[in-house]
Amino acid sequence: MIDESKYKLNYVYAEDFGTGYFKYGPITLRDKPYMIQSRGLFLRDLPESIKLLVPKEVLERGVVVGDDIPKYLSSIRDAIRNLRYPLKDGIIRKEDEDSWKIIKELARYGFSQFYSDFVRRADFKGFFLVVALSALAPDYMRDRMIEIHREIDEEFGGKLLQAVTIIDQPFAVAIAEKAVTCTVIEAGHGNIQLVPISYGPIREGIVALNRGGAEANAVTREVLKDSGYGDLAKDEYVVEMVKRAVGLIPKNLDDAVKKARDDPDRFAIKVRINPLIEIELRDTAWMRFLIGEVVFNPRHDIFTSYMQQGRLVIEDTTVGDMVFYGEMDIAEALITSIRKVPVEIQDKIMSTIILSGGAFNWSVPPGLEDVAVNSVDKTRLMVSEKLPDLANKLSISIVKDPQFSVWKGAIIYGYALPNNVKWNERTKEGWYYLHQ
Amino acid sequence: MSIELAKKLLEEWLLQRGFKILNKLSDRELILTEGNNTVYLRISIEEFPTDSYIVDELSNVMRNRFNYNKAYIAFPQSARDLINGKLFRSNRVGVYIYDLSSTDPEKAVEELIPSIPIQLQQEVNEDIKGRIDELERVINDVKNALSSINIQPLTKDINELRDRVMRIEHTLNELIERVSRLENLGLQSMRNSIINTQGSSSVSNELPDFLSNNPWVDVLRKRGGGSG
Repeated sequence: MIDESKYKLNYVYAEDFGTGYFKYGPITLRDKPYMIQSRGLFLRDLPESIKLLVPKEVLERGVVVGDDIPKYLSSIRDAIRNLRYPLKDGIIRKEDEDSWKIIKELARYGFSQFYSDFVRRADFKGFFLVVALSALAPDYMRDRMIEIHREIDEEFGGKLLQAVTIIDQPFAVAIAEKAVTCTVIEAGHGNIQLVPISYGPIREGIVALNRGGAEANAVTREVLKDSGYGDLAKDEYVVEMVKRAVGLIPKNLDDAVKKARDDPDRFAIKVRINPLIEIELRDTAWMRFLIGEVVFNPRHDIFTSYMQQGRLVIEDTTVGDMVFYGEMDIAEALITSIRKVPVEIQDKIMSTIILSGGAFNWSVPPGLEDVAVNSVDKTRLMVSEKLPDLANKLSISIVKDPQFSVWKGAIIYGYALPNNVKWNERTKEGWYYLHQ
Repeated sequence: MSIELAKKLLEEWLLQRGFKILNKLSDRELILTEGNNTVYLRISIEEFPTDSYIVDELSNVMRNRFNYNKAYIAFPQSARDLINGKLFRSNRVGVYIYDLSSTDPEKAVEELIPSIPIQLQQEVNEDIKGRIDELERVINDVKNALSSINIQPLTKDINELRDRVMRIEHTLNELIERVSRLENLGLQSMRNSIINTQGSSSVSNELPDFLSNNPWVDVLRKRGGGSG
C-alpha cells in the first residue's frame, strides 16, 4: 500500500476531455494541468509544396492538435471543414472516425510532452491513467477510449501506461470539491448533466438536458437580429462575446422583462467588440434576461413563440438509452434525478448541490441586484418554488476552480483508487491493466 | 484669260507627271511636291506680257525662292519669246509655257526652262531655339551641380550604413539563437523541476494540496477491500 501510494504520487496521469479544452498531465504538475483546445486540424487539402515540409509521421497520421495547428492552418485550403471540435457535445458518435482520430492525437500530444522525462526514471513502470468523460458518454465511448490508449501505449513501446480507468466528469468535480454526498450539475456547451453522488455516481439518477451554452448562444443570436445586428449574429465569436457581456439571469423573468421594458435606459448596454464594432441594446435590453433564462427554464411563452417561429430549437433527443430532455427546467430535472435514488439518501444528496461548467458562469452587474441573480441563487429560487420546505436546507455552491476541478478530481481518483480494483465490464469502473 | 482654266490645265499636266498638290497659297500660287522636292508654282495669265512684267513676276517668285527646292512660273504661250533664259537659270527658277488653245493635253504645257533644285535653307524656329538654349542651360546646371557634389563622403556613409545593418543582422541572429536556447533551457528546467519535485531517484512523499484532507481518498481506498 505504501509503495503503491508512493508510486502513484508520481505516476498518476489524468486527461479531462472537456468540450472546449483538453486538460492533461501527471500528478506532479500539482494544481495546474497543461491545457490545449479540444480540436484537431486534418491535413487533407495541403498543397504538395507544403507536404514536403511536414514530417512524414505527422503526414501519415493526417491530423495535428495544440500548438501545431497554427503552423498548418494557413496552408490548409478549406480550414473551416478541416478544423474540427470533436467534443462539442461531450459525446462522440460511434462511427465518427474523424473525431476519434483527434481524440487519439490529443492524448498522444499530451504524453509526448512528458514521456521522455519519465521513461528515464528507474522506478517508472508506466502511468496510471484516469480519463474524465461526460457522465452521458455511452459505454462504447469508454471502451473506445481504452482501446485508443492501448494503441498509444504500444506506440511508446508498451512503457507509457500501466493501467487505464475512466471517470465521469461530474464525479471528478465532486471529488475535487471534497463532497462525498451531493448532486453535481454540470452545464456544458451542448448539454447539462445532473449526477447524484453518494460515495460514487449513482447512474440510475443521472438526468440529462439537451441544452446548455449553445442555446444561450442561439438566444443571443436572436437578440442581435432583433436589435438590428443581423449581420453580426452570424459570427460565433461576436455571439459568444455578446452573450458573456449582456446575458443576465432574471430572478423572475416576467418581472424582469416588465421592469426592463418600462425603464430601458437602466438596462441599456453597449458592447465594444473591437475598435470598429460596437453593439448597443436599448429597446431590446429586456431580452438580456432571455439569454440566461433559457439555460434554466426554456418553458416560458417567449421561448415557445421563438420555437414556433423556428428561431430556436430545443427538443428531446436520445443517445444510446439515455433521454436528453429539451425543455425540462433545472429544478424539475434536479427533483427527477433525486427521485431516482434510494429514498434514505435523497435528503443528503439534495442538500449539497455543486454547479460546474461554463454555462453557469453568469454575473450580476451592480445596480441590477433587484432583478438579476447568479446561477447559485437562481437554482435555489427555482427549487424553493417547487419545494418550499427544502429551500432552507439547500447548500448550493459553484466550483471554485471551474477550469481544472475535473482534472484535479481525476488525479485524486487515480491516486486513491487501489490498484487491485480491476476493470469491471458491467460497471465500467476500476483499473484496466494493459499488460496483464 | 481665265485663271481657273489655266490652273486646271497646269494641275492636270503636273499630276500626270507625278506631282502632288500640297497647298494653294492663292489663286495663282500652288505648292506641290515632286519626290522629295517641294515645288513652288506661280501662274501668270497676262495675255500680253512685257519684259518688265516678266521680271516683276520673277522678282515676286524670288521673295520665297529659298523656302522651296524648286520654283516655276507658268506663262501663256504669248510670253515665250520674252523669256530671258539666262536670268531665269541664274535665279534657278523654271518656266512652263501653257497653251489654252491646244487640243492635245500632253502638249498644252511645255517645260521651257527646268528649275534647278536648291538645298533648303532651314528656317530657324525661334521657339525651338529658345527651348534648345534652355535645355543647354539645364544640362550645364546639372553638370555643374554634379561636379560640385562630392560623392566620396556619400559613398563612405552608405558603406558605413551597410556595415551597421550587417552588424545589427548579425546581433539579431545571435539574439534569436540565444532566446531559442533559453526557451529550450526553460522547458528543460521546467521538466527537470517536475522530476526534481519527485526527487530524481526517490519518490516524493508530499501530498499535493488538493489531495490532503480530502474525504474521497479514504472512501476510494476502501474499494479495494479496505486494504488498498
